[in-house]
Amino acid sequence: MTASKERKLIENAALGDVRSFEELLESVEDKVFSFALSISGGNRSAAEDIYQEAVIKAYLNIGKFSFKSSFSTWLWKIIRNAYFDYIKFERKCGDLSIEDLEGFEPSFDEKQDMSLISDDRAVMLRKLISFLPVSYSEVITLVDLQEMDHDEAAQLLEIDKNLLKVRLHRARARLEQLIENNMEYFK
Amino acid sequence: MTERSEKILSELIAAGKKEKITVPLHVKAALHNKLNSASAKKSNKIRYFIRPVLAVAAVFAIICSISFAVFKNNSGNIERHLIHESTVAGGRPVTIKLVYNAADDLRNVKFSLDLDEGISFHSDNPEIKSRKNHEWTGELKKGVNSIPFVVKTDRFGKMKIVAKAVSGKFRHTQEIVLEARESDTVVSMFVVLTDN
Repeated sequence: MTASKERKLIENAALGDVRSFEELLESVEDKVFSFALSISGGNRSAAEDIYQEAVIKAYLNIGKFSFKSSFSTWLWKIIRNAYFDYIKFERKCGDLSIEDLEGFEPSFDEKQDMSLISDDRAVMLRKLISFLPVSYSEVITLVDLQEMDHDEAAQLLEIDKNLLKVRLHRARARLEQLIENNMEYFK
Repeated sequence: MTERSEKILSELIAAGKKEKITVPLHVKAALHNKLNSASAKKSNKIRYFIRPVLAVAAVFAIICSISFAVFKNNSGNIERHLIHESTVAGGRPVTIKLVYNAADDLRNVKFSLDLDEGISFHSDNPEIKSRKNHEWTGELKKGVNSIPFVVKTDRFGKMKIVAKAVSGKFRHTQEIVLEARESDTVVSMFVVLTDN
């Protein structure tokens, strides 16, 4: 979609035109849903809730869109915030901040429950990613799976590019460690 | 870590890249309904707000709105973009709401409304009712500004209202076309982009 067409659709959507908003959404929906699915650890039900919540929020707030980023980047951010809201709600931790969530890391010393793992390698990967803290899972998802370049991913996550690289390196190392610890499932 | 785990991870990532994930159809359908519902709620809020302002009782109203992010100096040929279309019951007054989303505070904005023959302002005041043009100078605050007005069609056929807002070199023009038929009236709102 061209930038001018995107701008026109955004302006129409800001007036309440649902069709324009849906046209905008069509161009990015699969990637954005895939992101929601990945950061929610492959939990389809959670991803569907997060995705719907985020899209409605985007529609209601599109009048505030400032054209400083692309529509997709903006929507990605809303998805990410919806995920944090979802986690807060699920854990009933009203005071939990995003920073708290980023600091939350499961133990990687022990063997993980891989009982739900399947022969489908993509599903296996999602299962592994579900064991990562969100600050790592989102980086792996954006850069390795959705092939977003480092600059765009850093902008979306609002972090420095070097920090993004560090997280990416650590995320990959964690995944390799998980594979190593559960090698019997990968024969 | 071993080379083997590194290789397995590479294979998994390659498989993950290839995986085609699509939004499930039931989610799309549910979302479509929710979006329409959210849109209707928005309109209802606007309608409720405007009614006392206009003091027009029992008016079957349609709210047409237009917004533009900035007043901008457009260049190129004249272009019309349809931004809203609705159908309302025939023979009833129609409330039209112009919404301007200004990037900054603007003073001395010259507004004008020009009505085709067959359209009149809906008012108890005969003087206002007989006007085909209304001009005034006002200001727009940074953000969303609403200008509602009510008109009535006096005959069948297509008629047009031209709404202009001019501030210095910036101008914004909208055309509202009313097609009055026996049973209903189709209201179409266009934004007009010109090079002057």
